[in-house]
Amino acid sequence: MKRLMLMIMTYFLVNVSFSLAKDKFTTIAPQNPNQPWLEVVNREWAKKLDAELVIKYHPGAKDIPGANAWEKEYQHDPKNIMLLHGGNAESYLLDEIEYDYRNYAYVGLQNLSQVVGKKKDSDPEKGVKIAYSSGSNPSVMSVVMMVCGPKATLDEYLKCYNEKFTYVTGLNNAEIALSFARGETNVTRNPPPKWNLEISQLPGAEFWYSHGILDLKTGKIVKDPNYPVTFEDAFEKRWGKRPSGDFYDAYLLLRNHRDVFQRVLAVKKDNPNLSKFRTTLQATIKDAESSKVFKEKLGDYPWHTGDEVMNLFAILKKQTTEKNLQTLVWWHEKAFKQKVVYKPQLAKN
Amino acid sequence: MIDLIVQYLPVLLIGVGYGFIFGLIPVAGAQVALIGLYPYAEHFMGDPYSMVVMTTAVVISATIGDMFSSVVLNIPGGGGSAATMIDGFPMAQRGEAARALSAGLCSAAAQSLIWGLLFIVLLPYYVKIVYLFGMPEMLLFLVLAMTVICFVSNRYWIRGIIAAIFGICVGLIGEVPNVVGEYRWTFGWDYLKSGIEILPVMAGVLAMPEIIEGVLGKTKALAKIKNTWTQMWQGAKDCWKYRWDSFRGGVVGGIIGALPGLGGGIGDYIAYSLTAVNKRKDDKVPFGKGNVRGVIGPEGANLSHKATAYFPTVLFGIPGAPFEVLVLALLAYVGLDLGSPRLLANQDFFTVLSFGYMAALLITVIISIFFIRYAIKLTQIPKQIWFPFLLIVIVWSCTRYTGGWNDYIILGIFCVIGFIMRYLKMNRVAFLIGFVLAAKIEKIGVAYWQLYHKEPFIFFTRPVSLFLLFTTILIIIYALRYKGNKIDYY
Repeated sequence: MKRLMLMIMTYFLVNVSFSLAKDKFTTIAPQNPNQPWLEVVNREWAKKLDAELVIKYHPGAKDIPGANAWEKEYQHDPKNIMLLHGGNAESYLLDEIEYDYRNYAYVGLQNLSQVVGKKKDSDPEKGVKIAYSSGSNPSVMSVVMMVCGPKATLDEYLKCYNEKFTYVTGLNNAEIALSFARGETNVTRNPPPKWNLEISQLPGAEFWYSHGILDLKTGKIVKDPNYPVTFEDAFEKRWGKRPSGDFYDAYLLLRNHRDVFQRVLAVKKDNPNLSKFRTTLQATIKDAESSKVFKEKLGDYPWHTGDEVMNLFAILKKQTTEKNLQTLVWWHEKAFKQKVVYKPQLAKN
Repeated sequence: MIDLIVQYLPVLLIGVGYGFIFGLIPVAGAQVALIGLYPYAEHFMGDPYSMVVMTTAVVISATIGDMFSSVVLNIPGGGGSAATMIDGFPMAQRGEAARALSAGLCSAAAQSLIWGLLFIVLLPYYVKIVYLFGMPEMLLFLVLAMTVICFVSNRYWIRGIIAAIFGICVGLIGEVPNVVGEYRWTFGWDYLKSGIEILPVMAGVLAMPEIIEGVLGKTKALAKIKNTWTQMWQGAKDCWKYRWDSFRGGVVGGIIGALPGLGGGIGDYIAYSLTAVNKRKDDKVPFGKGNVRGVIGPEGANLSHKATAYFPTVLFGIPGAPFEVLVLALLAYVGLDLGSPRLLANQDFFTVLSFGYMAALLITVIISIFFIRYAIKLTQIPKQIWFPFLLIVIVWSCTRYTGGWNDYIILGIFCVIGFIMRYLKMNRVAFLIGFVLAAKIEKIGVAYWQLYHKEPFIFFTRPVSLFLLFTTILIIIYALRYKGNKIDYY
């Protein structure tokens, strides 16, 4: 018995001292635990960083409280790294927030897409039931276009939305998945890792289309290699032409912010560890073993590190017009019944 | 099997010891213990199955550790054994802490074993069952739970309903879901913006009135402990004698755990209510005053809930209870994606999970048996020291959130509410259940309305809905007609 206790104590002490000897960094996630993307990335990145990477979860409505806390508090510790979510980018355009993307330095991001799925046995054109979660609004706007077809005015879209859509609020991620599995909702949208690892396995789940990827060079949406049918392709197949118009332009602005900044690792501008973070993340992405894990679990999506992220900002800036912002505000208030704010300064700066 | 024991025994022992300590600490419990594992998660990556063993051991041992805190300290560790306090603490005051702990341990272990085995056997059928529970069924299940608490075991059902509504209102204080910057009923007090934590409510309403009365000398002196081993044997015999109370508790906990979305926290109270209403001729001690059945019933629900919460988590990757969110995340960190077909086809995973569960249960029970004799010594500290000590521990536990004066004010407010409810003979458990379920009722109620408001007769068209509806009506009729089998209040 004594020997066993000694063995356990030694095991424990070795582990503890091993942990204490290593550097420890914290990635802050603005949501609840169970974030496949961050868990997978941290695991691989920690190997190159040669440090412990722990996750601190700071959940709250629309992911805003965690990001606000980053702005006010967390960023000042050089050992902290913020994971800004797509919902944060959406709120950057439309909500009252305290954080500002322009204030941070970027370690890197994965330029992701969104997967829209439906129940095999349902016909969304007869009615769509979809659950709200932080960052779901652009996908719902795309579903509105898919279901309602080309419309000349925003009012026509609104009429169609009111007739055919049920936007279920208040459910958490697990409940959203379950309500889809049960068939209570018939359309769902998810980040690729979540779709790949969880939702696509649910009974009756069927891929419908993906958002596609924003091309850094052209600023246009290109095919997602993991899910090649983009929204634009699916729309053209159903309605005979590519989507266009004010509603589509506003959707693109929201979609691009939301998807490009879906998973961004940021630090304070003068963080002394910034170059270490960047080089180790770049090394992780290039590492054959880690790259294989990323492809398998997160999908084959491009990574951008360091200053490349700023190029993405420049592309998004061009799309941020007062008209697009006004359309988004109008739609969120009239259709989604959400309280949002109009921020003309985003189009000016 | 021997290979598994050799390979995982150190992890099992560390997990059980670590979880048990967290169970004993007021405020802590399984969730806090699991959060504490994050910094060490990378050490499990060499053998991801060791994380399966670790998390399972932590959950089981912390849940059993909770019971010690409830019986000896009158504080629920992580909230899982809250209903056990109602009769467990009075038993401890009577010098029968060892009997209460032994009875509770046997009940929890037996139901854990039954439902753990059922988990393995029923896994293939679970998918079909869970799909029968949509929003209408969830809503009706919540109504049924509230009905049981308000009507079945309590004599004053109108006061019970009022207490439950009051609890719901208190539970809705804070941020309006999904609306940033909009708060409900905070009366300009910023502290309330993040809502009210459960521990000050539970301690203030349920535990503090008794403790304060103890400090002020209104309760009887603590009785001397009778022979510990005799008591423990008596507790085990009680568990066998009242095995149907334990089993009923197990069924309640098992069903609630298996239904994702309902969460824990109510199973033990429902089990307690159903136990209390089933009066027996040989009930010498009233419920609420230290009836051992009041420990056996809820403890039956406590671990069975944990066992069946693994159903949705393992099969769909959808957490069946709050602690399962953390299990899911920890296992994902080491590369085990619960709910993925690849993992479901992995026989090794299920072997290690089953082994970890059963072995952790066995080790925890053995540790608990030896620990009982030391835990109960706490109750023998002279009353003049013991009650003030308890008071300090409870106040300390309830003021860990901000550490500021706001925490003390909230605890004070709920103490006053507890005293008033006791004086008015209002059902304090109904209040707590209302508080615990408030967010859930709002969420499921809103989702139900959004999805089904155009189908007013949906309840009558679905078999499970219909069953739950009729059960609720029958319970109300039974409760209104048969008043004899009820306790005054708790």
